Amino acid sequence: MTDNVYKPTTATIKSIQLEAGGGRPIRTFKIQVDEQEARDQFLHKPGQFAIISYFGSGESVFAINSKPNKDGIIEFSVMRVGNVTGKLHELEEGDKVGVRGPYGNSFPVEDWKGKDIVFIGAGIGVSPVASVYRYVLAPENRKDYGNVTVIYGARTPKDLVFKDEFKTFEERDDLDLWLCIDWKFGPKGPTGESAMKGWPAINMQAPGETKVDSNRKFTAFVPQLVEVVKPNPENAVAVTCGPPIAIKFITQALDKLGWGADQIYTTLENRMKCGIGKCGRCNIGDVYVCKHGPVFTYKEVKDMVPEF
Amino acid sequence: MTDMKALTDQIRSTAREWLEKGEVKYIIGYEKDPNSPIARPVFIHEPKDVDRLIIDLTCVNNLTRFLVDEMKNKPKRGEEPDLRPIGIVVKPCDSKTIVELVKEKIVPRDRVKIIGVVSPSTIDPKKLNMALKNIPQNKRKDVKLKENGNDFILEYDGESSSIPQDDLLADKCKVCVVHTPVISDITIGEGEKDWKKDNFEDIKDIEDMSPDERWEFWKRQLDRCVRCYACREACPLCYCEECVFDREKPYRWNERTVGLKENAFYHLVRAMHLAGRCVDCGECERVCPMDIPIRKINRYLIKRARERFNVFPGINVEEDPMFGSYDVDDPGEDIW
Amino acid sequence: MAKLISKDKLDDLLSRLKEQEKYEVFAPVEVDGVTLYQHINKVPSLEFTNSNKPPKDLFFPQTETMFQLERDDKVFVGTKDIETSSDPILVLGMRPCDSRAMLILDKLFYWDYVDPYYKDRRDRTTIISFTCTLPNMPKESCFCTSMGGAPDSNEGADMLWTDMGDVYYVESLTDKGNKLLELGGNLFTDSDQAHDSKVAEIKVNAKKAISRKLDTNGVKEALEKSFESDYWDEFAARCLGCGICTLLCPTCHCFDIYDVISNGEGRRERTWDSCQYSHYTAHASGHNPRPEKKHRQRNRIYHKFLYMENNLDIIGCVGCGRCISGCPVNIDIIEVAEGIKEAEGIKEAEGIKEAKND
Repeated sequence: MTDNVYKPTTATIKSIQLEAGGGRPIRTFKIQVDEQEARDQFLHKPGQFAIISYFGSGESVFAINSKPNKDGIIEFSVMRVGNVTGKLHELEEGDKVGVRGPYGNSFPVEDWKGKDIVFIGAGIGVSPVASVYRYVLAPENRKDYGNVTVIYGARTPKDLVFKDEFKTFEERDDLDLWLCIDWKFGPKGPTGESAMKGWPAINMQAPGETKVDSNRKFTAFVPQLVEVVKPNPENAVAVTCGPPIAIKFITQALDKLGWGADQIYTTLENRMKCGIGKCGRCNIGDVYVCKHGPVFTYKEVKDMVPEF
Repeated sequence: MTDMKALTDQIRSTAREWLEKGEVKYIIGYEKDPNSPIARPVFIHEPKDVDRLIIDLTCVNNLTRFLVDEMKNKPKRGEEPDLRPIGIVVKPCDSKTIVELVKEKIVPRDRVKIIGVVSPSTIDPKKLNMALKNIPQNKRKDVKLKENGNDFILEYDGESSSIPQDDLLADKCKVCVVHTPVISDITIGEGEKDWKKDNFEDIKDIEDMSPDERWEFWKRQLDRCVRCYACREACPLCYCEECVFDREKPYRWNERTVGLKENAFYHLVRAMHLAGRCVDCGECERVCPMDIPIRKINRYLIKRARERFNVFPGINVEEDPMFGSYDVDDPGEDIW
Repeated sequence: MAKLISKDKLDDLLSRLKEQEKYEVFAPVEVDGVTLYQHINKVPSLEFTNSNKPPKDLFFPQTETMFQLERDDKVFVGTKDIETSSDPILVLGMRPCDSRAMLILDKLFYWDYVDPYYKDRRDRTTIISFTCTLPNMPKESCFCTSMGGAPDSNEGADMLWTDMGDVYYVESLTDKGNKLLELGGNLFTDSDQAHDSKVAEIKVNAKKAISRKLDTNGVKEALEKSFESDYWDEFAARCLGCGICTLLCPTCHCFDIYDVISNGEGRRERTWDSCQYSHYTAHASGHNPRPEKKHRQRNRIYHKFLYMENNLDIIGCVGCGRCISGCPVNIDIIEVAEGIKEAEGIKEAEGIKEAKND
């Protein structure tokens, strides 16, 4: 029979890190592909995704957020929302899963050499963004890129993921890290209060006029934090990901600051199954997120039919 | 012989009046299909469009299904909901469905304004296809059907031929006990008021089979089900927000596999969910693309409901739903 | 060089194919008033209109096991290939519209990644198309000639047979077709002038008998402009969301993949799915990009007339008419395609208007 593109190869779980608890916990899994020949095939590019099987429950699509490598190491973050993700959360180190991929297109990191990069992640959306910033910030690549700014926000400090990694970022001098939380915002809108000590409020009426000193933590929604940071669009690209509503406001904020739609990159999520453009599920108009994406410029997203 | 033209005119004038006075939000009725001999559903919002409405032997859909859709519609945020009643044209069988929907509090009685039509019957589109076999296929939409005593007259190209009713009539009409709408705000047409007697002759063939023979029969029928779920979607009483067969969390109740085991499970569970509620509107069988005799299962349960619990679904809106009530005299030999 | 085969020799042909090469033969069979493709040992009456379930089922079965799951005590830890056959398959009697549909499915299932299950069946199948001849065909819902096909089209087929009463006129189109001629040997006789000219007449009459026409000029342009049009509300108001249109369509290819554990054994399966079902695009978070029936119907129409062509360079509808005759509420894809053109003010070509008024 022809090579079976649907057959996953087996991988072993090397480590599991609980990133955020609560009703929808997030865990980061690090797995390693078992077979040596299969390991070489998994040299992925930043932005691609893999399909992980919990044998007996099914498959699910996750963005690969580890740095590209030839050892078959794949890291991905899973939020527990359904059957397969629920089962994955019950696994332990040493357990087996299936994996196939990597699929999809990737961020054009070669084209970005010499540019400044702004990473903007909202909630769990920071996971696909992580694959790119880990690539860019890797020692062998860092010098190829200009200034790096990372803007990341979640609801509460408990919901912030990759806490250890961000702690190391705070200590680096080759990037600028900004964090925000937003849980003091009531249902009718922001209250203008600080959510907790160390996370001061911003200027609600005009976020761009917030006084900025050495503090990099605020109580704000991510789009507002973008307005506070005021990233410069000249010779720069922005990479953003998050829930559709967050992306909408983040791109609006960037637009106000003079960013062009073709300078902003995002990854789209849509319900996916086969990952290879056959099952038909992930289409947005004539664009298949699994084949033509998941990485798109904001200009391409604007050209798509409005159904996502 | 029923004067379909007179019935059509009366429906149109009623619809016009209700729309002009703003008494209804819109009216669900039937219109002529330019490409098929069978009529199709239409939604009339403006008085000027009422002349699209018709009633004839080819009005096969049960329109009450769209009433349920309307009840499920949530108003847009910030908009005041329009709580005017929905106008609907119903045949006697469809009116029975409304009785059940009102009983089960899915459609409040004041949210529907019913134009009940005393119509003799409807034809079965699949049987019509057989009867039209000799007419060139591009002329079939021009065929006119009329009643004539115990026959139907097929008029085409100036010629007419007579077909015995049995050959064209929908099976459900042959066993129907009501020829007048059981619930309506205005009744159009004259009809006999006597209830007909239903001896369940149509399921005698199944009842006479031994359990093994019955299983062979149903194995053959259910094997070709493609699980399109058209029977469920066409049924006005299948109104659950999330059907048990669509559930994935915490697990699937029925596998997605399309095979005899899963097909049988689906059909039997659906039949049980309709026991004591199904009024035999016949839509499930009509819409099935694989010609599975689904009504036989439901008819069997209607007979059981009648024999064991003296329940007649779709007749009396004051009656409690069968599984929503009990009587201390209920047969309970299976339970005790 | 065309051949003839007498109808009473067909069982002999079947025997030869089975004995010599172990062909598995499928043909349209009537079961309780419904026509389905089934495995046959003797040739049934081949006077059919078209099958209810499209023959894509033979290459892309409605439910298909992809592989089994390997157990290790209480958990599943890997995959096990299933055994597949390598026997050749013969489909005796596909309509030309369905054969053309195979070309569309080929493009999809081989697009960049090759679908092994589809390829395996496709490679070992020989397709014999049957010309649609009067009086059975064409049906009132057929419109293949508007979609680039014809009642005598040979696209996608290995052989084209035309019913001439007591014989079939046999045209072999590919190597696979030639192989059948070889295996049939003397069961096939050479055709002659009389049969050649009669068959030409039969084909012309069949083409003329197609009554429904759709002018596809301008449909793509109309669709590109009208994603937000009110038109989609109107006709989709009566849609039930049943999925019959997609399940009976010979070019629809959507499927779902899931694991099944049964009696301690595990397997991964795929089954046809439909974009008409409400939960088809629902995200795990609860967000649904196509929440209403009109959004889903619109997606189907766009796929058939625009998206498939954009991605695969071939228009996604073959004009078989199954969605029209199967729809419980008379939603008619020709009417919709024309309606959207009208809604966008695009005029019909004069030639099509005349044909309609015949």
